[in-house]
Amino acid sequence: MKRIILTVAALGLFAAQRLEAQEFQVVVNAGASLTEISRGDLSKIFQKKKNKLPSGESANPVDLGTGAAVRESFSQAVHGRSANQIAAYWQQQIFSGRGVPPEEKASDDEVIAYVSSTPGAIGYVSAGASLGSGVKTLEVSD
Amino acid sequence: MHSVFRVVASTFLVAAICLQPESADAQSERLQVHGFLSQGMGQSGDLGVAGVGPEATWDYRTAALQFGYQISDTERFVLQLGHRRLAHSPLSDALDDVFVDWGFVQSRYGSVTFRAGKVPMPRGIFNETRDVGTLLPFYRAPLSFYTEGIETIDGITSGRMISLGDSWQLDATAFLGSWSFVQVQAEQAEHDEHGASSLVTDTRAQRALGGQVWLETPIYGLRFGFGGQRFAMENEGLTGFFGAVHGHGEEEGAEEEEEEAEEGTQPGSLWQASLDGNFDRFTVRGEYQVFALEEITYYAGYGQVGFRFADRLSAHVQAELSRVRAADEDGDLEFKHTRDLAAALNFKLSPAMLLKIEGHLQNGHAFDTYIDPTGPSASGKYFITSIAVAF
Repeated sequence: MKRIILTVAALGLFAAQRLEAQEFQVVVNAGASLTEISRGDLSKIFQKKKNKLPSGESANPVDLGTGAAVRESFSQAVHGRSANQIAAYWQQQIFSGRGVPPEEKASDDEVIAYVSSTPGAIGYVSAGASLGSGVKTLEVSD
Repeated sequence: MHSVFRVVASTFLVAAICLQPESADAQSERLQVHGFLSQGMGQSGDLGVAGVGPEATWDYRTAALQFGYQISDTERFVLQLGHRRLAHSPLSDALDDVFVDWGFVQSRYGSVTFRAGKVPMPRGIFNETRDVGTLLPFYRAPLSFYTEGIETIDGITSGRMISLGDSWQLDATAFLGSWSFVQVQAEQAEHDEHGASSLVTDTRAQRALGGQVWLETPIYGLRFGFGGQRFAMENEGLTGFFGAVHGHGEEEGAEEEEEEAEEGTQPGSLWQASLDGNFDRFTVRGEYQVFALEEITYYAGYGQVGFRFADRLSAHVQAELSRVRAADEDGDLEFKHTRDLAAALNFKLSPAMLLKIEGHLQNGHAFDTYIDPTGPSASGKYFITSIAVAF
């Protein structure tokens, strides 16, 4: 019985990790040359602390709208903090005149349309979103 | 009214110049508009503080509208218009209904950013965001530290972020230009049948050269800051508080010195050290500054602690202390300018809206009613309830 419980618990934990890993996918314009990006670089690009992709192209990050579950997942996984904390960071940046947050789109489809039509664009969508030919996914490495 | 028209007309003229012949969609992507508003209701005990008087007032408000236009990938133009009401403070009469908070162009060259125009002065934790209610646990940033004026610099700034490895980062900014030193003083009681009359003076600090450095640590939200500047303070207009302290000797001698002092400038300096801990559940902040002219030195510091004990609810406490030391032929005069103990509750009504309730106990000489700095301190209290919103 104990063995069964442990097995079920392990399977549940595995499922949870798999779910977390699949909650979002990072997408980039299909013409971009890179195929992977580090978590640190991705975080800096979305906080506009870096304005170039690792391949040297100008970066054009695009967020999902505030309140989106995928945005919260992305924020926790990539920035290591909540979407509210990142929002506070952006308020500080805006009202000290230092910068403005990335473009926001309301849905996966809008993000994909933007990324496919904008050179250097990088965004994220839900794990199960259908991508189309204008974008490709990026592996996120630690 | 004419000044408001000029400001609005200037805004549209600048916007028209900046807008290139592009599609409407492209133009809208280049132009960003943000803003904030804090609307307060305040009431004090017998002694008023910063415009909050014994009669409850809603005439207490700060607002701003910021226009940012992305000229190119590396260049941006920013114009922020502001509006403030401070109830019974003479500043309410001295300020235009709408004024230019900032107006500058920003250029980025690699990791270096330049700004030129009327630029927010990088000084301490809150100087650039001192009126943004959604970023503050109290209605305003600590008043003894972030005094009126010293907000913007007319000149140029240059900033750079330097990675030191292992998630340590240095954020350094230098600036050169001039700025306003605004003093709101309460004169002797005989000038006003209500027992107080205030004087607003705006003195310029010229040839200001300084900088601000922030050391960002690997602990997200924790950083240490240090900054300072040297400048030449114009003597003309440096009256009121500094004049009252400076003239605490014999009346005839003080008048002669005041006449001499009105000509030319005197060297000055302003230095500050900061600790900023802004974490998910709690905040810990503290700052200390020394503002020195030839014969007067103003010391100010505060500590602030906050805790978010529910998703939308947080509590904050703050202690401020400031004192003045003046030196002339009569020897040193030192007195407590302000001691303020405050507590606040913040409730997040929505991601963009914050409700605050705060109370302050104040002791010292910095009231709206004149309190002789050579005499004993006075005590008072005041409360502010406010709603802050930002977009």
